[in-house]
Amino acid sequence: MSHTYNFAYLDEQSKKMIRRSVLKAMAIPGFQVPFGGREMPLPYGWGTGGIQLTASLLGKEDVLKVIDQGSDDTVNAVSIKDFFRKTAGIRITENTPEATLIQTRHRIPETPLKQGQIMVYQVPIPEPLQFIEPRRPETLKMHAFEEYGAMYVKLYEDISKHDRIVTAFDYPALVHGRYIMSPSPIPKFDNPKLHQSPAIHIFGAGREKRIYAVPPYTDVISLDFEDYPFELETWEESCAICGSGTSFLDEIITDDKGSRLFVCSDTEYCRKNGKKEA
Amino acid sequence: MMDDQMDPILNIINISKDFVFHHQEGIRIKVLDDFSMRFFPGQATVLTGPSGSGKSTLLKMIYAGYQIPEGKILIRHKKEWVDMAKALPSLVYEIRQHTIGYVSQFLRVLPRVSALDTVIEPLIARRMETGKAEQKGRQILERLRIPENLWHLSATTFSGGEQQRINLARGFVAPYPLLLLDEPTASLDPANRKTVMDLIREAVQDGSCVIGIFHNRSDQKELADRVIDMSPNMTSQPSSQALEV
Amino acid sequence: MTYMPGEKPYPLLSVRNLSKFYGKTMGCHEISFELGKGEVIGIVGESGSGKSTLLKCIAGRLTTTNGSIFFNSSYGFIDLCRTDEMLLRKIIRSETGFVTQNSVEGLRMTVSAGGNIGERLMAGGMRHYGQIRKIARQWLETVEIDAKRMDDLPSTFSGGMQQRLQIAANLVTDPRIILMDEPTSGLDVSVQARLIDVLRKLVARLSLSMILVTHDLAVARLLSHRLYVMKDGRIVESGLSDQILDDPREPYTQLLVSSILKP
Repeated sequence: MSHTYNFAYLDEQSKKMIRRSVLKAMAIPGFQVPFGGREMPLPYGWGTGGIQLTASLLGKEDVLKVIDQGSDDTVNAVSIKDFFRKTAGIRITENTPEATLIQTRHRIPETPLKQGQIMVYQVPIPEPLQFIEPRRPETLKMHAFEEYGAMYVKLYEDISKHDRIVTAFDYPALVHGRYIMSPSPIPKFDNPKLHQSPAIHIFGAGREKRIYAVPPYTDVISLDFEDYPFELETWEESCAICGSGTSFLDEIITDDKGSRLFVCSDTEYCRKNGKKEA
Repeated sequence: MMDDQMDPILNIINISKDFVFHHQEGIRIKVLDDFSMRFFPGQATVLTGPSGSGKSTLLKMIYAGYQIPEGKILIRHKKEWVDMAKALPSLVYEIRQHTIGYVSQFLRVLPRVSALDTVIEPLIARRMETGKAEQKGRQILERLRIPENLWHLSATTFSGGEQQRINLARGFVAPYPLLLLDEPTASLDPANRKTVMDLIREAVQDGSCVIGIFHNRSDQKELADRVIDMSPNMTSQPSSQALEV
Repeated sequence: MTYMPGEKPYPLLSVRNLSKFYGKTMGCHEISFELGKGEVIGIVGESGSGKSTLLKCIAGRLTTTNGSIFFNSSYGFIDLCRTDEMLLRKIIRSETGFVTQNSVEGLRMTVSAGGNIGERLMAGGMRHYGQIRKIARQWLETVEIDAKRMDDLPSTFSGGMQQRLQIAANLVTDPRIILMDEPTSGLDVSVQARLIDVLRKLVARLSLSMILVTHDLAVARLLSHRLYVMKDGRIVESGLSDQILDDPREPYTQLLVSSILKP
């Protein structure tokens, strides 16, 4: 007896509930909206938040792309694509401009996004203040009353210890001049892609059961100090495969002697760029 | 010298004081009974009488160091009359800074404050510049024969006599219109006693009103323009003598 | 503090008929007093007297049951018990200071000393790292903590140092009033002496207004201008510090004063 699932696995009532949360999140950019997370067929820490969002937002005409650390073919990305292939039967692609919905873990694609595209982010810890102030009732008040001194304390501590802000990913940013959000563990290299982006960006934390969003053309400003401004990562090397000097590079150790290669983290971009160079 | 035309600086009107010891069977001791007196600038008054006759109590009440349950203690502060019994605490502190000086028998020493800083504290409170204040402090410490190598030390390790001289230095480093002295020459050797008597005389000549308690008869005789015997039956004054303000 | 005799100065703080009940249990009841600029008030009493409860109410850390706490803030003379939470938190953060008995409550133990001092500055909008550090360094010097320890965690500090760090972290925004809850409790005597000296100098230099809750009468005498004696949640006697300690009238005050052992 084969099990028939509702379209994209979740029941319609659950989808409605999640969509309501998404609407609220879009109306209050950067604000963490609690939602009634459903039990998904994978454990917390594997993208349950992202999957619930994707499941609620997918329509029959949608084209889905899933990446994990920039790559379309990691175990995680492949499993999630299989899941939606089975439960929704929608078209899957690796081609970024073709996708209508892109679910991601830890990266934003290099190819600039267009109006009408939706990015869904898998978020482990939605609260940017978590490590400075672990008490939820207190962080709720801090967000409500715009009391963000503690957030700057975190950056201050970085500079005092390492002479620079060492936060390399999950770099806190001020959304629409009001709420400070954690953009999920994307590298700070990707933060500027959120600023005034034509696409919709929605963030889902399954374990913490919170959703937040950045609507199109919203200001997203990464936090910094006047004398220690926000800086992007740079590499001396270019991609060993496609030769790009502008994309985010992964460092790969190739043998036990410590030889290393730098290649684009965004595999699809790398492939296209390589073809162009050729 | 008393000039009948001059205004008094202190006018005590019908004060009484008793102490109730609640935890010693509620014993009630009446120390002052309907006491009134006027005091004038440039006048030295000595209070005499047996122990328990209210001499120290009177001084403490003038300073508002004891509560004043009945009567008035009027002090002339910055050309106005203030009743110490009713003055706001902040005003009392101001009066203690500028108008009434008090040398008690006890010095409250602080462990990290040097003898010099203890002495010049009244000048600093009056916002005198530190260098100038320290100069005055050194002068008076010299006069009272405190060795220079002790000036930067905290008075916590000083002998009783040395502490008393620090206390006195602090009392005389700044001029006060009214100066209250409780046994200032106790535990002093003859040389220092003479110095203190000189300091008191200079203060009186400068116009201060001095009220003092001395157990030594010759000190009393030497200093007093007036003697008030606080023994029981001797302290009542008809209230018509008091100046009503 | 210059004004004509008899003219009442506009108070910095005016507590009127304040009560705090925990259900039927009374924390403090019918408390009224005023505090002027540059004044230090000591609130003394034994455990269970309600003095810490009273202080926490004034600091906005406990909700009150009855009464008012009028504070002369930069937003006017307002009743803190009836102010909306956002404004209340803002005022408390920048215009008042609260030094707790237990430093773990008053400091972020996982944040460096400099970070603790700088937090209020950053909360107030300061965004220049160099300037924050400069101010933090100055305050560490003022409270006699070696500036080299700016990047150390408070958990590596002694109890007395933690207290002094709390003081610096609170004073950095130049608050109008600072509230201190048993600041010398649990400290060694020599450490106490240093803390008291730092406080004395700060009070004198900054014309600081302070409410000091303590069970140590010697500390109360040294630092405060006026004393309030509390017992079973109520004020039993009040007046000038030396008056209360040298000439106690009420039975309980006499008991308290006579119980101190003099070494």
